Order: sequence, then C-alpha cells, then structure tokens
Amino acid sequence: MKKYIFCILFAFAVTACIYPYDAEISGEAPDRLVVSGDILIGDKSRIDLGYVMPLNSNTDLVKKTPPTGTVTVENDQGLQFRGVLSRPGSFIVDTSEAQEDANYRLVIKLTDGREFNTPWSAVNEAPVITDLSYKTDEDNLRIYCSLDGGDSIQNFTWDYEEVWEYHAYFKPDLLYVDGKYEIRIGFSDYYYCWNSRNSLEPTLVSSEALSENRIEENNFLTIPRSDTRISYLYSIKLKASGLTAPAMAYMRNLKTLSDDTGGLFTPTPSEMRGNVSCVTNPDEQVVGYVSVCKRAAKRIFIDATYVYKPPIKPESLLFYPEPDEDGNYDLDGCFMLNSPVSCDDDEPDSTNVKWGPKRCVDCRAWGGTKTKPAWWPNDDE
Amino acid sequence: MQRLVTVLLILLGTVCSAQSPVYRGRVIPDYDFSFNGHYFWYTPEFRPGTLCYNGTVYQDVNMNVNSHTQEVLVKQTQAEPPVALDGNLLPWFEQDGIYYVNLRLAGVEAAPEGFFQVLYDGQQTCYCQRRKLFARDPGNHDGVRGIGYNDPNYREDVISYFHQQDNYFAIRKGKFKKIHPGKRKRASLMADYLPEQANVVTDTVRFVSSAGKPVQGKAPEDLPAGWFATESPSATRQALLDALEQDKLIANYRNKTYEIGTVRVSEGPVKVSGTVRDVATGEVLGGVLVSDAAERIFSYTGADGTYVLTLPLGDNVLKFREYTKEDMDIRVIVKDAGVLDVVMREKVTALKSAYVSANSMAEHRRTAMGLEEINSSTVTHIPSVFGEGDVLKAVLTLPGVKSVGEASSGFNVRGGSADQNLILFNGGTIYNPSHLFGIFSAFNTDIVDGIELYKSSIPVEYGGRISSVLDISSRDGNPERIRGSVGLGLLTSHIALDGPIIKNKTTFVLGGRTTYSDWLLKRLPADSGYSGGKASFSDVNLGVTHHFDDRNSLKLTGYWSRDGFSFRGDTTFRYSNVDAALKWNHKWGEGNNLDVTAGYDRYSNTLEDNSPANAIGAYSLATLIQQGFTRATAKLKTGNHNITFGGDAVFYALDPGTLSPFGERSKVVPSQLAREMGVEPSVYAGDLWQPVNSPFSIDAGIRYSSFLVLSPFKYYGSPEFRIGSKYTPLPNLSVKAGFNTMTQYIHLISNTSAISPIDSWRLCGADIKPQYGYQAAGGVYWTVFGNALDISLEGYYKRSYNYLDYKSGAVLVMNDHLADDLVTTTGRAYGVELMLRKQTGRLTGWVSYTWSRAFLKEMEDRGVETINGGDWYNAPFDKPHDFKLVGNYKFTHRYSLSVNVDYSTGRPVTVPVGQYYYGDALRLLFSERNAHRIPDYFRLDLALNIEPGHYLKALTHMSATIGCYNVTGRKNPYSVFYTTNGGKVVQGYMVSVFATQVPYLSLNLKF
Repeated sequence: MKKYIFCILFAFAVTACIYPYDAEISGEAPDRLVVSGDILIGDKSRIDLGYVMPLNSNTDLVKKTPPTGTVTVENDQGLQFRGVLSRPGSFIVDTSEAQEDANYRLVIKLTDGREFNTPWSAVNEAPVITDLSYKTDEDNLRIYCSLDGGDSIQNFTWDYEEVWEYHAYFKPDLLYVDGKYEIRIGFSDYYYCWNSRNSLEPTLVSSEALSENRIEENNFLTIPRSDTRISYLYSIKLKASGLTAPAMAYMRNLKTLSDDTGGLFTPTPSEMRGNVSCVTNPDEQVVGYVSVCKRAAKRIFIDATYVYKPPIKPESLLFYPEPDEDGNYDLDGCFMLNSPVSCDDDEPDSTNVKWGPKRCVDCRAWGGTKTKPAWWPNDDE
Repeated sequence: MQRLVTVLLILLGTVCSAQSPVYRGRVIPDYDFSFNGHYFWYTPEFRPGTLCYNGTVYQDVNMNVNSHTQEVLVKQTQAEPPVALDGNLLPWFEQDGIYYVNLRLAGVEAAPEGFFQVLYDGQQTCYCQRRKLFARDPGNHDGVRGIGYNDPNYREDVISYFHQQDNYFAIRKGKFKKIHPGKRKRASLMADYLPEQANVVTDTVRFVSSAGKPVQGKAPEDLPAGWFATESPSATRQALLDALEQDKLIANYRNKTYEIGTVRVSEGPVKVSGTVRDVATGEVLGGVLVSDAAERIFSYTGADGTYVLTLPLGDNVLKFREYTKEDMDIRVIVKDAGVLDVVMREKVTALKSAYVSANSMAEHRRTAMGLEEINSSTVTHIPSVFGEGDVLKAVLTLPGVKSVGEASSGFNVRGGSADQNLILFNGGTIYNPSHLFGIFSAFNTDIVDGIELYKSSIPVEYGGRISSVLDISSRDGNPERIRGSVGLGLLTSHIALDGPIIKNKTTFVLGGRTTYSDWLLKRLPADSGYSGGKASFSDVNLGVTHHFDDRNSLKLTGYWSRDGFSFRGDTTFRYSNVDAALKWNHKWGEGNNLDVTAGYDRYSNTLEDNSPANAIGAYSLATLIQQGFTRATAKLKTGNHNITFGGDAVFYALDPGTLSPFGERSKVVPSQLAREMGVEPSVYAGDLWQPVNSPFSIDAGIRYSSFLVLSPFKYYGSPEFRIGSKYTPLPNLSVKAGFNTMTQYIHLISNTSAISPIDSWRLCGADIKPQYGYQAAGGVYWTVFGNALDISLEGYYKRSYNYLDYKSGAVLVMNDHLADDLVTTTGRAYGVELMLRKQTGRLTGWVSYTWSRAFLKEMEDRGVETINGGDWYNAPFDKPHDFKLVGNYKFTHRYSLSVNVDYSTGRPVTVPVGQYYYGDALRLLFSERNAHRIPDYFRLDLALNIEPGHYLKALTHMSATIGCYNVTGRKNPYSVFYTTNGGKVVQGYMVSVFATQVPYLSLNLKF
C-alpha cells in the first residue's frame, strides 16, 4: 500500500510509479507438493493436492496437473477416515462423525511411492458467531460479523458462501425465437434465478492485542448497492474456525507473500515452512499447513429490495429495431412488452414499437441458474 | 567586495603586532590566470605621486592604483615588485595632478570602499570611482574596445578581461548620492556642475587633470577642513619604504615576513598555533589545511578554527588552504613558540582557482584512510531531486557508499547495514536522518558547515557503530552583523538567520525548513485518488556560541524535526528527532585542546491505524528512544606526537513498543513492552606519531567500550583497536594501511529493505548480543598533473558478527519474545574503490568505480529452517558494480553546470519462482532469500547554477538553480513485486520512485 505514497506526493511531477514488470525468471519451478485444506471435525474436510508450477505457466495448467494417490485422516485412537476423490486433486474426507477428544493427523500416499504426513494435533475449538448483520450507507451494503473466542481462541479465520436470488427485468408478452413470433403473455419462465459464490481466501483476524478474545463488528464484506447480488434476496453463510499461533503465522505469511509485497515498508518476502513433511525423504520441502479444528457457521438472509440501486433503468435497454443492409431485422431472442397486436396477427408491426434484448427477460444471461437451493425460504420458481 | 579586497588578509589584531613582524616581502601576483587588458586605473606604468599614509605625507612615490582591488601599489624602483598599502591608512593621494580620496576615511559612511577621483571646478564637487570588474565572455572576440579583446596570441576561447565601470557620486544636502549612469543625465549633471566642460564629459580624465585640482587652501566642502593639508610631516618615497621596512605600519600580509617569537630559542621544533577566520564575516573557519612549505608538517583547523603546528626553527612558509578561500602563503621566521592568527578571503574572482587545492594532496598528509570530506558549498552544487541541497545525497555520491533505493532513509558503507552507521549532528545521534521516507535529508544545508564520513579509519573518540561515522557540524553565527538566507524550491522552503547577540562575543544561528506538499495534496482533485493523502515535514536548528575569551567558548545547539504522512487517512506515520547539546571548548598551552560535551537525543515514531473497516481494532503504536550523553576529549601535541584521550558515556532508555487504542470504539488493550535501559561507557586513547620530515607516520589507538544492561543486569565489554599507518616515498605518492575493530550495542530491528518509520531499535541484553566487526584496508594515493588530479585506489575486507536478521514470518512489533523471531548472522564484505578527483580549474569533481560484495550467513544451524540452508547469501545492499561521476564546470564566475551520473548493479531481492493453488486462490512460491536482482540502476542529473553577481555591496544576493533530475527518464526500479490480484492472476510489477524527468527550480536569497 505504501508504495503509492510516492505517487501521492509527487503526482504532479511523476507520471506514474508502478509499471508491469516481467523478471523473465525461466526454468523449472521447485518440485514441491502443495497440500491445502483443514481437517474439520464435525464437518466434511476438503483436502487439495497440487504441485508448484513455473511462474510463467498457464494458470489452468496449474490446476489441472494434480498428483494422484490417497488421502487419509487418522486419529490417535486408531480410527481412519479415507478421502474420496471429488475432482482431480481434491479429496473429501467425511470427518463429520469424528470425535473431538482425539488427536488427528493427515496421511498422504502418492502413487509414486512418496508419503507425507502432518504431526498429531488436538482439535481447535470453534469460536461462537455472536452476530452476523449488515448496514447500508449511501453507496454500499456492509456485512459485519462478531465472534467470541472464549478463553482459548485468539486467532480467527473465516470464509463465507454467498447465495442470491435475482430476477430478470421484464415479464414480456411477445418473444421472437428462431425467426418466429411467440406470444407469451406475462412470460416468466426465466424470470427468477439463483447464483452463488465462495470467498476466494479466508479472512484472518487476531484478538491478540484486544482486551477480550472477541471480534466485534468486523466489516469483512462490502457490496455496492448496484450489485446484482443484492437486487432481490441475498443470503450469506459465515464459517469460522480458530487457528493455532503457528497456523496463523503461516496463513498470514502466505497471504502477505501474494498480496502485500514490493512496498517500501513491506517485509522482504520469505517463505515459511508448513506442518506437512515428507516421510520418505525428510529433505523434501512441502507447501501447506493443515489445521485440525471445529467450525462454527451462521447464515442470514437479506431482503434487499429496498437496498438495491439499479445501475440502469431497464427501460433504457428497449430499442426501436434498425434494419440491416438487406432490410432484415435481427431480433432473435428479443422480446416485446405489451404486444400492440392481437393474438391473431401473424406479422405484428415490428418496427413501430420498442423491443428489448433477451437478457432483460432471461435471468440466466446474468450467470445464474434456475436451480433453487432446497433451503431457500420463498416460493419463487 | 571592497571590504574583501582592501582588507585582504590582515593578520588579526594585536597578536601579530606584538610579534613585531618585519617587512621585507613582496607582492605575490594577484592573478594567476590569463586575462586581457589590465586592472590599473589608467595605465600599467608606475608614475610618481604624493600620498598620505598613516598620518604622513610622502612625495615622489612610484605608485599606481589597482582598480579591481582598489589598492594603492608602490614601488621603490620600476624593476622591483610592487607593494600594496593598506587602504585604511591612506586617506588621499595625488598623481598627475589628479586627487584621489578615500571617502570612508573622510567620514562619508555611505560611500563604497576604495578611492575616488575628485572632480572639482572650484565651486562644486563630484567624485568618480573607477572599478575594473573581472568578466569572462565565452567565444566573443569582438568585445569592448580598448582592453585587448582581439589579441591574436590569446589562446583560450573564453575571453577573460577587466570590464571598466565608472561611477559618479555627489554629496547633496548632506547625502551621498550616486549620479545615475544614464549618459544623458550624467552629461546634464556634469554640465550643471562644470558647464564649460560639458562637451567632453566622456573624457573625464583630461578634464580632471586640468580642473580637478583643489584650489589652494580651499578643499571641497564635502571633505574635512584641512583634508589635503601638508602640515603632516612630509617625507620622501624612501622614507615611506623605510617606514614600511621598520614595520611601523600594519601592512598587507603578502608583503611581510612574520617573526614568531621574539628571542630565538636554542632548540626546536616549537609549536605555532592560531585561529583562522573569514575576513568578511569574522567567522572561524574549520577544516582549513595549514602546512609548511614542503607540506610535510600539517594540521587542519578544528571546528573552532584553531590549528597547531610543530615547526622547526628558522625560515619557513605557512600555507593555508580551504576549498572556497584563496590560497594563502605566509613567510615566517620561527624563533620560538607563538601564535599566528590569520584571516582568509573568499575566492570571488580567480575563476581558475574557484575550487582550490585545499584537499589536493590531502591524502598525502593525513594518516587516516577512508575519510571523505564535503563542505556545504559542494553539497549545493550536486544536483538533487526538487533542487533541495541534500547532505545525504551528497554522501551517496562517494565511493563505497550505497543505498537500497533512491528514496530510502539509510545508507550503506562498505557492505555494512544502515544501522551500523553512527550519524552525529553536533555530537548528537540522529536515528532517522531523512524526511519523507528518504526523499530529503534531515539536515538543512543553510546551517551545515562540514561533513565528514569515516568509512575506514575511525578515530578513537568515535564508537558505538561498526561500519562508519558520519559527523556533521553546524556553523557558527556571524559575529559582526545579522545575515540571512531564504530558499524556495518546488516542494520545500528554508530560511536561515544568523548574527551576533553580543558583538564578537556571542552569536546565534537559526534555521528552519518546511514543505508544502501537504498543501498541494489537499488541492489535488478527488478523482486523482491522492487527495486524501498527507505528507509534511519541518525542522528547526538553533545554535548559540559564546566566546568567553580566546581560550574558552561554549556552544549550545538544538535540533528538532518532525515528519508525518498518511495514505488516504487510514494509516498515519509520524516520527520526530530532538537533539540538544552543550559543548565547552577550552584551549591551553601550545595547541592543547579540550572538548566537553553533554546532550540529550530523542527519537520517536508513531503508527496510527484507524481503518474504517476495523474501528474496533484501531490502534496507535509508538516507539521511543531517549539517550543522554557526555563526552570529554583532550588533544595534546608534544613533539611529534598528537595525543588524543578521553571518555564518553551514553545512557539509553528505549521504549520499544507502546500500543494504545485509537478512537472511542477501539477495543485494543493498552500495552507496553518493557523499557530497556543501559549505559555505554567508554574510555579511549590514541597517538598520531608524525615525525617532521619523515615519510612514515602511524596513528594508533585503543578504545575500551562497555555496556551495562540495567535490567536484568548484564555486562559486555571489549577493547577496540584502531591502527593506521602511512608511507610517503614521494611528495605526491602515499601508501596506507589500516585496521579497525568496532562494537555496537544497539540494533535496528527491521525486515524491510529501507529504514521504515515502524522499525524499532533494541538494546542488546541477555538474549541479544552486541554486534562486533573488523575492517582491514589498504590504499595507494597518487597526485599527478601538477597536483591537479588525485588518484586513489583503496581495498578493504570486513567481517561482522551478530548482525540480526529475521526468521521467516517473524513478528517484529510488540513482541515480548523478539529474540525468538530473530537470527544472528555473520557478515562478510570486500571491495576495491578507484577514484579520480579533480579539485582545481574550471572543471572540478570526481569519478569513481567500486567493485564490492557483501554477504550474510546465519550463525546458527536451525536445520531446514536455516536461511538459505546455512549458506552465504547476498546482503540486501550487495551491489557489485558501482560507478559515480560528480562534475561541475564553471563557465564564468556566475554560471556553472553540474552533472551527476550514478550507475549500480541492481540490489538483491527475493522474487517468486513458482505458483500454485492453495485452496481456490493462486499463490506464489518465493526463491531463496535475496537470490535475484532488480534491474540495474542508472541516473543522469544536470543543473545550471547561477551565482550572485560581483556586486557584493548589494543588500541581497540571489542565486538560482535550474536542473533536471533523471534526465534520461529511466524507470529505475526501487523494487519489483508480484501479486496474485486477490488470488486470481499472477502479475509482476515494478515500483519506480522517480520514473520520469523531474525538472526543478530553486531560488536562494541571501541578505
């Protein structure tokens, strides 16, 4: 952040301060296994395996070349929970029935013979989510959480899932599909849709310096009031865990290395060792820190009807059709509100009334689906 | 200027006359450079005349007038060299029927100094003063008539000549007024005064010769009654010369040989001491080289202007050299120990010697190596960003001095870290020497007098850091009159005021600087994204010096600075330096000196984080260093020995972290790390053994430094050795070697490349050990081309131990167990520095190339956690190739062009070498520590300096600098970094602080 300070000071004299740069670092990346995910007691655990790839390789490729093998969660009482491959490199371990008063570790056996594990760890308690609420101001809707770590939790981490229902702009009377007019008075098949998103990375907050192990009114998410997510009905689920101090340090460093380097006063980057080690070759370095923890969750719904500020007036999208060079009209997928013709007319006058684009009546055009979550609280379809 | 040229170098006061100097010298030619025309009033020929000198009228004296210096010159015969008379004893003279008067001596205080022709028609009087101003004119061969412009034998393209300027004055209604130089008006006025000659006013000489003689018994009414009377004892030319030889008069130093001591003692050598002052201001001059004729025996004047030399008995010549002053050579006959005070004048006209040979040959005189000296005038001629003369940036142009970036606060000397440099300002320690994160240095060049950087041989009186010492001193105030200066730059302005509180006893100097960047930022448009930012700094310097007598003086200095800056209002940094010191200087015996200093230093910084997203966690984090110190250093000179001894003690109280809630909603618990306290007492003694006429000299010393941690109690102590030697087989060739050991008891805790405002300092204790190190160095120094070019080659090897680096993921703030997050490293640095320095002529400057390396290695084996596997790794400031060029070319006295070139290898950085998905976010894997480098650094700066004109009697003098920083507009990277843009796409970026040309204009006004 502070790297901008120079620009601030001398913006009038210095044209710019930060430029894209390619260090042209070539060659192979270090051959390191990446293990990400936590053992969630009382929930399903997701463990992802991957490799470090060269810096200049395609990011899709990075995702698509996972190692193969098995992933198992073991406890010190002899129980094993075998992971199931959900997609390449990603294992789901059902630890929802795992007991809390045991020590756990992760064991990874790759098909190339290498074996990795984490040290035995006790289960970290979960904080209590005491509040999950929102406030609005002129431009944004801000979502806040409050957590109580009790006596034992000083390091908090959470991520969230967002689900929202939204609708198309209009329910039309006349559609133009595949070269034909289709009269559908009050058409609403694609009026309601649902979409979802997960937080990309966890939030990390510590109460180390605070008088109590409580996080109060942390504004962890801000949504512009013109965002489609809060156009109708919005839901967010917060999932919070407690971390040990070493795990917190590792995760913070991981985030710092990727997002907060290069400034004048930012620390010089330096890799930390995780808690995954290679059993078959102790000198082999592994990326990743696997915590053993419980997780608290809380969901709220926000009726955003009165919060939403549409970025445009839907009516502004309507248009009078313009013929192309051949005198034809390209109206495929378009619609007409309040058809001016009777149902008996075969050829309505398409040029003297306003038409609208398909995306105004088909909510799927905005990225969502018609798949409604089973727990959704209304009857929209 | 009149004052400069007429007073010249008068040996000060009664001391000299008490020495009963004889007078048998000769005038040294004033001008050692080629010029066209001449500087005499009419003709170079010496003609007979009559003059009144020191109350006696002498007739038939061979004489002439130097119109440039306004001096009357006399000769015994035409073949002999002329002798200059003291204008303060010469009220009038007459030659060829023309009368000349010194109006100042006639009580006309408003008149310029010098001599005036009397233009008198028997009723009214006016006066003409002819001045010959030195001028230079490049390429113009069609110049003014009558001064030899088209001399075919003149080889230089730049024509130098004396430009004639006649000014007319009259006294009307009791006021001395200049008659306007407009020809028409002057002619009119002359016609009014002398109507019968109105048509020939352009030839005033002939006119005066016939009509300007005073009427017998009726002197011009402007002059005192009997002004030209000859009742005074009348004498001949020979009588004058006899009088001069008997030295009944105070005369120009250049004409004299001084006796030191009255009765010749049987054995030498003896001590000669004295004080050197500026003739115009009366200020003492530090750093003046005083040497004998062979330059085997020499000394530098201290900050109080005093020097001591041990000279053999008999005839000798004392040379006085200083950058900005005219070279001065004084003939002496040493009979016994004595005092010789001198004054030096500023170099104002002799362009060829604008930067004279003060430091030329200096390396052959001193035993110490690795000592760099810069004076404030050099600093102001080095182009710097935004035109603000910058002490630290000037230091960075020296070989062996590097920084991690062009806007970083600290600097690195010969492979040492930034915290290993002791930065002293008037004896007080400056912990953060920069403003605005390193863009400006914390020192006001209006106030700074001398800058000394010790990068190899460190005198025994300095200690506490293991790499270098940067000693900066402020100047004293003018003892005669109030002076001041005001400077305006693009972002900053500064003001300085100095003068007497009690004339010639107590002086003060006061300076201040501030910036208006804050004001500018507030006016940036909101959509620029910068309008919420704040950045400002200020500093104030105060110095008061009181001279009780010739042997005792007391100097009080104070310094205060503050910085504050924030980014869009959510994170604010503040830091402040406060220093106060009181220094008593006492001299006794022959050149013995005692300095006793006591002072207090304070450095505080604060970080306030009040991000609106986290009002509950808003906090203020502060650190504080306070130290009190006392130091007593005595310097004795006995025979060939220059002995230094003394002791010092520093008391530290550090508050390494105080956390407080910020804002009403904050739930941050106030907490404070335990205060660290310690005392660092040291004693030291050293001897510079420098036999007269011997090519060898040795400087050896020992310093015993110790450190007491007060809670919990812990004691450290170690001897430090300082040894230097010099062998000078030829006057212009020296070979030196030196060895130093140093110890440091305070550490800067940082995991950033540059000194950051949030870094904290920690004292060593039970779990943090002192840093110590040694340096071995050797060098060859060769002066060639008639002392015009100094060539030096120095090599060094350094080791350091217990330098603190940090573990990966270390938490360095508010950490009760800080030592657990730190690692101790050993350092290794070596290098070779080649430097060519030219200090005379129109082109001055230096060019240097340094090849050096600096490495660190963790001292402890922590298995896989060991930094870079326990191997040596590049120190953050390891920049192997370093080329620097600093040059100044003077076209004329007023105009000069400065150039600065800086090239260095890019500094080491840790960069990502791989990428991976961690969960759903893209992450980066970084290389071993400092395994890669940012691109090389190159910068060219140019500046045109315009100095004040010659007219030094003007009330104000304006100088200006027009320049451009980074002329080529190269985007030099400060750092490179990669982000994943919130875990999505890897993108590399480069931060460039000054990514384009930065033009600037700065104005300085002196009054």
